[in-house]
Amino acid sequence: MEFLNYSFMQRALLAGCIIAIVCPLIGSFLFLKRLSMIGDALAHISMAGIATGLIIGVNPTISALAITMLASLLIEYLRKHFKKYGELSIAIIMSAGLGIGIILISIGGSDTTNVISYLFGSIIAISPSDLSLIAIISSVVFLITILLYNKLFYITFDEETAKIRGIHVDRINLIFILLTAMTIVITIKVTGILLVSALITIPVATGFQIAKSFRHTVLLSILFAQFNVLSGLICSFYLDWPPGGTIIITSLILLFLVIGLKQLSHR
Amino acid sequence: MDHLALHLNNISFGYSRQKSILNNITLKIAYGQMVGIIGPNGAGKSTLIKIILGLLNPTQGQVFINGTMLNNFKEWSKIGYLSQKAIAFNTSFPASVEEVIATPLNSDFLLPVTTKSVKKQVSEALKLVELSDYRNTLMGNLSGGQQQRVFLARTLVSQPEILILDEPFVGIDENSQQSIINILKRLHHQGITILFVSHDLRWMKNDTDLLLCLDNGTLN
Repeated sequence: MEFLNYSFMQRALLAGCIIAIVCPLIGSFLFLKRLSMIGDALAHISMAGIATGLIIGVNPTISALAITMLASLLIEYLRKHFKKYGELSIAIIMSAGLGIGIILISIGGSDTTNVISYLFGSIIAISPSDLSLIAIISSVVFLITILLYNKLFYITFDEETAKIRGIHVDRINLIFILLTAMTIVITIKVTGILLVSALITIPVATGFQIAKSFRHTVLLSILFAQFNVLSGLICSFYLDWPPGGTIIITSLILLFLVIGLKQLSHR
Repeated sequence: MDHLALHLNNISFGYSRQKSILNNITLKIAYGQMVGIIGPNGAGKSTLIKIILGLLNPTQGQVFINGTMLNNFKEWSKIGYLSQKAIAFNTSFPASVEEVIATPLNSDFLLPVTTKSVKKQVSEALKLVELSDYRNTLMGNLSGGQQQRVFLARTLVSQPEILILDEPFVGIDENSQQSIINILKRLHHQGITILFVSHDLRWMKNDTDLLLCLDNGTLN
């Protein structure tokens, strides 16, 4: 338990456990909506937000939050515009994010050399103020998602009937995409931009293998995400591997273990 | 107009002036009537249903439900709607039968817990569609016909007075079609007003109080 003696490690573990609650919660609904790739698109756009923050001297998490939330609204608008080809909006925003991000990094010169630490995440990068921000934003995301749970579930598979029942479908879809953007930005601190969607998709894919209902999927994926993050961070500490990559490796090991056990039990 | 469950007064609809979909449709449905509208694909049946439900605005005419003009109608829990698209639901996802049926009732609650009274109502709806044993089954593990019955149970769980069904027999096996017909007949006997649209004349033609044909945007 040597790792617990380091305050940066305590903060990383705490931050990891917190995001391992909200990521699978949001991820379960994204999975149900078949929009899992949205996590990647928003993470890419957050790079433009981080670069902007570094250039103008604002906390990059705050600037990333603002720009990613704006981009999420744009995704929702484009998704409505393309209707049957909703995934196009994700691809468009993803390229836009990377394009703008790369230009900003090149313009920023020495100001933006730090961006690399955001690409892959870094355990030592989580400051006490980052931890407070992660805790506050996660609490907001968690609370609103739980309060909207029933309506989100309804909308996800039958928008028409939900509309007839008087549920404000457009408003709730908008709130949900904003919550997704907030979740992505706080997750970047731990996993890095390139790996953020793994915490949103892999635990849900693991829970989905053995769940007996949607609620069961949500609970199981949160449980699996806790295991993935804790084991990933601890391995990352001892092996000196980047935390994001290590969390993904432990997540994948668990996913294939569950798939294997499921197949064995069906024989 | 109080004696009518549903009254469509001179409804027309088109996405542009050149392309009209519905022309001067008038329809009066009394309480307890079972009315079928048949017509070929693309005749405007689903458009008509969407106008009745307030999902589309007619270019002309008014809709009255329970004697109230659609814009002022608030009691949507009394209207049960089974959409054509229900069957295309993401079936591989592990949502249980109980979760799906309970959605309209649960949507009134803030927290994701299913109360005892909701569970009881779900049991009653399951009994109506003869799927009581499937309460905890995953939707993905049911046949298309069973899924359609689950969606019908979801429609019935809030005990609607008017039931509107859009192509309820599409894409399901004959046994399930027969089972849905029997359920609708029972509901009709209980005095529930039923309006359904279908492109297939075989179903229900002997059981409806009124059978109409929608073709080229006009109702005959």
